[in-house]
Amino acid sequence: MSRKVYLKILHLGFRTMSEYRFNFWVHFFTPFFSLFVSLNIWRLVDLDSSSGSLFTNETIVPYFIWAFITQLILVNQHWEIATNIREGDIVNFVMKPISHFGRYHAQSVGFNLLRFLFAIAAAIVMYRIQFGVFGFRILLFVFSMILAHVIEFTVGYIVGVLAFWIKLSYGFYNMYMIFRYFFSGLVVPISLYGGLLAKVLMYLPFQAVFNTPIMMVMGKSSDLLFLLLIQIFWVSVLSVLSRLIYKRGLKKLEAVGI
Amino acid sequence: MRKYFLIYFKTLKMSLGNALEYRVNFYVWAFVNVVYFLAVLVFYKFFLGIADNITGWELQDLLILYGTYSIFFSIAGLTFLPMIYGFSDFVKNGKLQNCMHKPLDLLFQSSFRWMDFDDVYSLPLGLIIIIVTIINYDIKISVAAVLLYIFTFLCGLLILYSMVILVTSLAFFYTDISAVNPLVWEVIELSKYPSGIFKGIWKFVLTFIIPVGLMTVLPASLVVGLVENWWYVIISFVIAVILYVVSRTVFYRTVRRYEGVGI
Repeated sequence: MSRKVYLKILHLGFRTMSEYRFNFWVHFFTPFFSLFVSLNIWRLVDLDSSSGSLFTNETIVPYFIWAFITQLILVNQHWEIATNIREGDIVNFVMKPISHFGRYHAQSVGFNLLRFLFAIAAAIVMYRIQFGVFGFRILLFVFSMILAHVIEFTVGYIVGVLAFWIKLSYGFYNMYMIFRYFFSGLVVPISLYGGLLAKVLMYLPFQAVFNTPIMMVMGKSSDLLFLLLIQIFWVSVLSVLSRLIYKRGLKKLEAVGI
Repeated sequence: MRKYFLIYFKTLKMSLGNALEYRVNFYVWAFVNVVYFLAVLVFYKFFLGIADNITGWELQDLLILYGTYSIFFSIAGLTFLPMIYGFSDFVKNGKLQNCMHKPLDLLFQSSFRWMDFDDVYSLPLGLIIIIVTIINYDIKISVAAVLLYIFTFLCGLLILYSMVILVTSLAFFYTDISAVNPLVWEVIELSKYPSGIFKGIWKFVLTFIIPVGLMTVLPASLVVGLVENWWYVIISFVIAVILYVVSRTVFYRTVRRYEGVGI
């Protein structure tokens, strides 16, 4: 029964997308700007002469194309979740036998389904162009990309449910976005930071959003397991945290039911 | 005119009251602004560590640019930029109809519904960055450069305002345009980088079609002496005026599509 409900919500999300097609297409094309800026900036740098880097002038372009593909599947609904709590509509959810997280996630996946399918298709085409053959690593990339999607959505969810305590919580999401922007590999490959900073960043959740999926196709084979384990660790931690915060938040909920 | 200023300041006061109602969020934004600046500083330092400069812009020049960018968007947030947030709901819920009955300019009412205090800290922060950079790097600035800086800065604001009007006018066609906000921010982010990084057709597009390059890069380049072409000062003014006239016309033409039942 439960699975059917989520499929129905997913379908509703998809129908919403087809109703507001303009929004969908704008949302679809927005990540192109990051790709555009990154490619223009990195064109100015001679990576071949900088030592100790995984990347060269030739590989930096594919790097940012992989980052762009990963960006296509990142979504969040922190604003909707917080508004729902702030305005008291959450009362309707509390009485339903479905997960609060699951409901928003299914809706979000439904709305962005075409974008996700495009991302997977783009990944397969890109892999073929870059490496000429199909390999195991493309599967690792898709798997890691899905985990990145879960991390991003869960962070947004946690920020959203903070609205149980602080009515406007989106400042925290912006804080996360700043760290994610600079320290995830979206604008600078982590390995280029070098030294202690690069080592520390490897253990943080930000790099699990961009760096890990990209390394699944472009990194050294010896690092893959470590990176995947770090990513799985953060998915687990954030999932547990999101449930805990939601449950504690529910205890604070006050509603008169009119 | 006085009436409009009075209404603006009343709205500003009310928006500040609203922002202070959610104190935690208000203070978190102070932290967000400082963290963002520090992250940008790390990024600039890192980048200049592997490239000598960014199309001729060195660290002090980039800091002046970032300071200008901070002030620019703080002022935009305190005036017209919130127009893009929630305008869909404004149209969808029929609230625009209430404005139509008032003896005030409809575009003014739509543009200055509330002010965003999230980036208010960027205003002093941007000023501090510029002043400290000028003192530390002993940058000599003439009075003419300061006047041109202010002039092009104001032209940049008018350009952005016009672009915001054009984008929000889409709500009369598509109703829900909430996805436009991140797109607008992605475009705005382009004004944080020297326009020299864009070449060929893109440079033309970002100077004349979507004139992001004229918003903050031009004023900053006048101060640090990196202006590519002095004609850009006049071009900035001409584009600002043309864009404003076009966007105002588009807004009043598209508003005719608006339908409301007034309940």
